[in-house]
Amino acid sequence: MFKSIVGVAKKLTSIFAVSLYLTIVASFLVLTGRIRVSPRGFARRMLASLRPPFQGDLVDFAHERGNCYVAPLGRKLISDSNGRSRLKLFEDGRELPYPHSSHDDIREFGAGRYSHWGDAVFFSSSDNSDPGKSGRRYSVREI
Amino acid sequence: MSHNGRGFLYSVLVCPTCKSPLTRNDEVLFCSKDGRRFPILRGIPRFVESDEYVDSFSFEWNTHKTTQLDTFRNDGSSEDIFRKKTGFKPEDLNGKLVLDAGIGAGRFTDVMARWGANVIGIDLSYAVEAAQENFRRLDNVLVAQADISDLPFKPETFDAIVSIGVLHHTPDTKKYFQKLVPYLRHGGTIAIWVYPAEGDFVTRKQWIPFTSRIPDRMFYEWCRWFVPFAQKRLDSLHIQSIYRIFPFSNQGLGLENDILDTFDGYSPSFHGIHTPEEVEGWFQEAELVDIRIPGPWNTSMRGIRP
Repeated sequence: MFKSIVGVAKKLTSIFAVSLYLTIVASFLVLTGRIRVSPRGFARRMLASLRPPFQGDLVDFAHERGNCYVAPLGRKLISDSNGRSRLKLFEDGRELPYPHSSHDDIREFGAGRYSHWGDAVFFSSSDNSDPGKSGRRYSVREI
Repeated sequence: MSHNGRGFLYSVLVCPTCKSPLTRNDEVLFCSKDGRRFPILRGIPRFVESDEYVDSFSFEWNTHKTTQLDTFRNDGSSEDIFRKKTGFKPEDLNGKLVLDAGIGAGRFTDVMARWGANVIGIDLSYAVEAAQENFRRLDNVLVAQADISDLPFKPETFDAIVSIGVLHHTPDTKKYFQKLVPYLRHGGTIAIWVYPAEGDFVTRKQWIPFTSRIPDRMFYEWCRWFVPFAQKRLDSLHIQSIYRIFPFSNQGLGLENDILDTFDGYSPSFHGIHTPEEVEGWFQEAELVDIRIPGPWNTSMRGIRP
């Protein structure tokens, strides 16, 4: 029992020490410009963490290619083109399964793959039907 | 002599210094010309005395012996990568004598052995222990501990040489590539992949002088904690900011693979990064022909010795 407590304490100390060391190194690498971090991107991420999450319905679907359709978001958010999107896409309230998909995969395979790219959502419906004709509701929510 | 079996593979080994044939006496290979002796420990011929600058690989491959091997994963992920990085198909290697320069735990030897190749896998690190455990039952694989700069083979020995993700961990990627070419038979193919000078590889290079100094076990424990922690929070803006400074692995091949790959990306002593033009230049300088990039990775390159 005592041995296992000592073991866990040792492990935690080790993880903390490495984290501290890496934080110091990271600060050094960023401050000396060895690793470049865009101040604009950083500010955008910080601002995004302060505002309430975006949500809304997708309208104005346009067929792109294959199974892929595009809908404008009407809002500038961090997307997969300039970071990692936090947008989830829902079909009639059910979350579609494959965010951050490549556009080729959306076009070729569809089946609910989607990508938040720039100011638009590139997506496919769960059964590859035309979302403009299926009557289903497509909504997005930032997490 | 038959082109098959462990006996044949042993016959390919020669003295690294004078290139004379070696005589096997129990667990020792002996060079009668210059008197050098090379022990066979746990079934592995040893042509080096230590793992020198690659101790992190000794650690990681003996910790993750089977994580990346298709045979144990029951998938074809490594075969898929192998095909894309080398352009080889099973019929290209079946029955051929192949050198896997930097075998590690044997991720790609596993593929080639399945395709019917006779493979000699060498590694400077004690990863050879893991590889030997994975392949001890296969007659078409021989694992040896040796340095690319001092190989125990005669020139023009191999039908094919592969070195995927290895040469950039040597002190001089180009020099070590050039060391391999003479061991290729005329008409044989060499295929390599090295880290590209772009994206996350550039960022990681900045970290190497600092992270390679952390004791392997400590850094590995940290990776075991951090990678699952970060992966569960990929949508967090803070984790995204951390990723930009400290890119961690998220390859979609499972958590164990990502822990291994993150450790692998930051712990080695050397981390060379290269442009496709640079790699192509090495192939041209080595007078290889039919030089091409076989797949989507632009620093994977193959060429034929005319």
